[in-house]
Amino acid sequence: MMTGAEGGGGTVPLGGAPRSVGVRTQSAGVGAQPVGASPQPAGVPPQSAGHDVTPELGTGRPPDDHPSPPSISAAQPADDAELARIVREAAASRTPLRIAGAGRWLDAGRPVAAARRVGLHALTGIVEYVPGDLTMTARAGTPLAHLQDAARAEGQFLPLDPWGDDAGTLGATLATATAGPLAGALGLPRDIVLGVSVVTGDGEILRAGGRVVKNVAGFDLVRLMVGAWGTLGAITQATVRLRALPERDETLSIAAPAESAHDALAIWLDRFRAARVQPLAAELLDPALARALEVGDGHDRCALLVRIAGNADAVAAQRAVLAELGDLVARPASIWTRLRAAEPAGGAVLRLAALPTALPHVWRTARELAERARDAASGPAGHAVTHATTHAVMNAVMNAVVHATVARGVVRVCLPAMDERALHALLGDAAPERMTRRFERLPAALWPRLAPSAVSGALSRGVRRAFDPHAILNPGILGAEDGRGAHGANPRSAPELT
Amino acid sequence: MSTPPPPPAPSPRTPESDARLAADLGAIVGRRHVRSHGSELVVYESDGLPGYRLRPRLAVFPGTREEVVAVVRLLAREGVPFVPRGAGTGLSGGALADDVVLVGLNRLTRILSVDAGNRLAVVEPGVVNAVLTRETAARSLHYAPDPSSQTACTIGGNVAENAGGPHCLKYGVTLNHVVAATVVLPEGDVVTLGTTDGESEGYDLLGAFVGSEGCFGIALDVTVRLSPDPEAVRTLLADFGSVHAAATAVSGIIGCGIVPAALELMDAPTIRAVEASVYAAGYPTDAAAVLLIEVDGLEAGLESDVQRIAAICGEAGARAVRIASDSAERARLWQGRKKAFGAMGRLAPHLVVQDAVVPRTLLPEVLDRIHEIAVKHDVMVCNVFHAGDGNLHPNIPYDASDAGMRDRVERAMSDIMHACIEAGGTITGEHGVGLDKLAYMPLLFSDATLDAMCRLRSVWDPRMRSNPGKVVPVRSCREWTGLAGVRGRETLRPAGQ
Repeated sequence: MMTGAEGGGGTVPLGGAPRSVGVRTQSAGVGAQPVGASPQPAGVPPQSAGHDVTPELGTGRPPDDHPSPPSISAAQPADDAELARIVREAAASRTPLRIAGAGRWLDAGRPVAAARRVGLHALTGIVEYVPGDLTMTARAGTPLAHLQDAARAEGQFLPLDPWGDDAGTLGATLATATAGPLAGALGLPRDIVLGVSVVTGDGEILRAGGRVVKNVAGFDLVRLMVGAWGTLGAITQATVRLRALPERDETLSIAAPAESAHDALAIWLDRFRAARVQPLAAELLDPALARALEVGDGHDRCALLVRIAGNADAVAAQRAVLAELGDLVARPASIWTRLRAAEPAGGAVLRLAALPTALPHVWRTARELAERARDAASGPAGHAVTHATTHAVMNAVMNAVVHATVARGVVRVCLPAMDERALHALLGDAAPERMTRRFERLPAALWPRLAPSAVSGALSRGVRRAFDPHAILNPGILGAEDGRGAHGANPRSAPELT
Repeated sequence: MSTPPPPPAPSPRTPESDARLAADLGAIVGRRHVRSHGSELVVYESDGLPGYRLRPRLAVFPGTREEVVAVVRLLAREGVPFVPRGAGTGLSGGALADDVVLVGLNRLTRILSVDAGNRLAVVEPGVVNAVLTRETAARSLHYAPDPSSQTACTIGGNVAENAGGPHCLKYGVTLNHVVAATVVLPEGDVVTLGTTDGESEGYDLLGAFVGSEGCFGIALDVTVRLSPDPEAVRTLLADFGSVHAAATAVSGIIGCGIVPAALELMDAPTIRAVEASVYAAGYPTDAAAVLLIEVDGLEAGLESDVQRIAAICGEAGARAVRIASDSAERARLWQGRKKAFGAMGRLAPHLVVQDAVVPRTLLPEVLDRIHEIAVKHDVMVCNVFHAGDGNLHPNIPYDASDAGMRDRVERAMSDIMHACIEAGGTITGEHGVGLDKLAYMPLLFSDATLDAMCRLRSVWDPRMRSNPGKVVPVRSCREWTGLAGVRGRETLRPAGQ
């Protein structure tokens, strides 16, 4: 059920295109809650603030059975000054804080040892929008949908389309550096942010960067804050750069060659990458996902979803080039919203990545993983349906799906809900060879076992101490600082030191 | 906030200790790659800004990555501050070594690898920007960030300053093109930042390093993204009877949704300086302003964009719009722009350069203000800038030996900077803070933010020996009031000693 007003399309539908809402149910660990676009906190039931630091495997509970532990109190500051005060007090009493946005969207399951939860959903609203400058400044608790609506009214859009949907807040998107289909062409969150205001771990309000599109004044605190998951500072406001809506914006699907034909897919992808096109987005979908999004067209093959934009001549020319790769079928813009939301409820999500030319190899590995997951999934098939929404995709996607952002060489694997032990056995302790593995969502117990700490290097530890000396902001959310955990991971092999 | 431990006081310098240091450095790089005599060091007294002259104590030029690391480790052992330097084309005084050791990276010129399929190159820091493009041209690739000094400046320098250039309007700045870097930290550790698959997790340490102006360490190699050559390019020159009209055209072009590859504005004094020089590009000398506009991309869509732009310029009052008919003409139009700073050298012996950015919609207003300031202080301002992103270079040619003029120029520059900050802008869009803009940092950032920058710097460089005294005013560092290697009013002893 939708609690809010309009759901954001989040993509770039031209006038008239249906704006379907991508809705995700909450995954394990947070009370199942309908995802709404309303920025108002009214009626938000208390959510569990976090997880035990080292839960035992197999004790993860089904999604809607996680009451708030009584010791965890919650705060919802109305402005930066109040947040700063809360953080100062927490620093003085060494009380760890769980910083959350609206809590409606991304739940990675990352374990955080926090006694108190601070929700930033009251920090909402557009502070300044100058269409002529293509820049927008908004408070961190503003849902992306709200920003997209404002931009669309001026013929512009915000090139942030994180996996999930646009009910998520600007702050959460930046803090988690979550990207989506547009990232290959239009940049990652770090490339789009011009400035941020944050409250650091000692309760100071810092304003880094600025409101202009080029700025090299001082050291780049903005880049550090993006992707820091709140551990260096709670983002309270950000200035982002927008783009003009293109004159034409078309999405086409093309059926890929059968994967069984040796190397055919790899060769075809090479042809696509060499083609004279400049897509805004290009996603390769596995047959299950293609079926779920209704672009399968009856054959059991992968589908390439391509978005081309620009003036009429440019789009027509690119369409002609793509036609050489296969039959083109036009798709509505809303398909991107549905793709972003297409995940089995309650399951793990990971990304396998290598250089773009290695995509075929990574793709094959991901597909094999998805096959094994389908065999291993032990949750009842009806389980996902219980928490599904009116959205058709959720009912259809109950098993593993795989898709890839072709330009970046990143393959995303969305696994169905399954027993933690089975999931651990499926994934194994280490990434497959010749690719990196990153997790978007895992049961809390598996984070320390499967994901090496991202912040155990000396520089990271130092940066953390510089901004959050008492380690009270989301402690543990990026992994243990001493590198403990992640079976087999050697703290000395943390990415920094060579 | 946790304090870096007070560093040991630097050992007292003597001629003997200087000689020993020179000898030790010579043992690493070869004696002929160490300069220790005044006459040899004069050439390193300045960077691209003629107004500063600060002589290094010694200059050392390692030739390999191993030598760089060995030099840095030796300097760390001795507690000696140093300044890394690329080609010395910087415009903020960032590579000036005031009586400290200069470490020149210009001998590390190897392109280590080019992966055309994935559009990546790994280069040593001394590779010249334009050389990288030249060497990848055969694969129809180029390195997009194109500062005007690109025929001389190095990738390492570009990384230090987060350099831009006219084509960054469409393609982004250095930050958007650096994927990974191997860095030797000032205390000697070697770290890898970023990952080639672009999927890093944890803190964006690479993002913090880019633009850190040599204060965080020295890059030993940089992995950069290469860009495919556009299928087609069109370059237009529009001339206007007023700067206002040109600025209006700029807004119109950006607002209609076209993203030009470049959008550069030059005013009358600049045009005349260029046309009087060897870089003459055929700009109309009676124009109040010209716009140099470039669009690129797929051939199919380009003509439509060109026509649209020409129409917008016409609507804004352009007297003429000329479209370059071939690559030779395109090159000539660009030469005029890229050599504009050089052309100003004909007008007076010295040049003061600024690099402010203002919101583009405020350009007309700010330009008017700059004109008022120029008149008030009786100086000539030559405006050349990246109009598409509001990055202004109001430059003032002058004769520094004329004290009165120098005074007026300084006041004019200060007024201009204040006007840009008041308009919601920033003090530097691409040149960096260096030494030149230190005084303005407190106008942009609160004490808390400046202190946070200091703390960040201490993480990378606990004893603050790498490019000391640059970027953040030392007095903004709450816990650290003394700095080895920074002379003048700064004390040379750490707080508490």
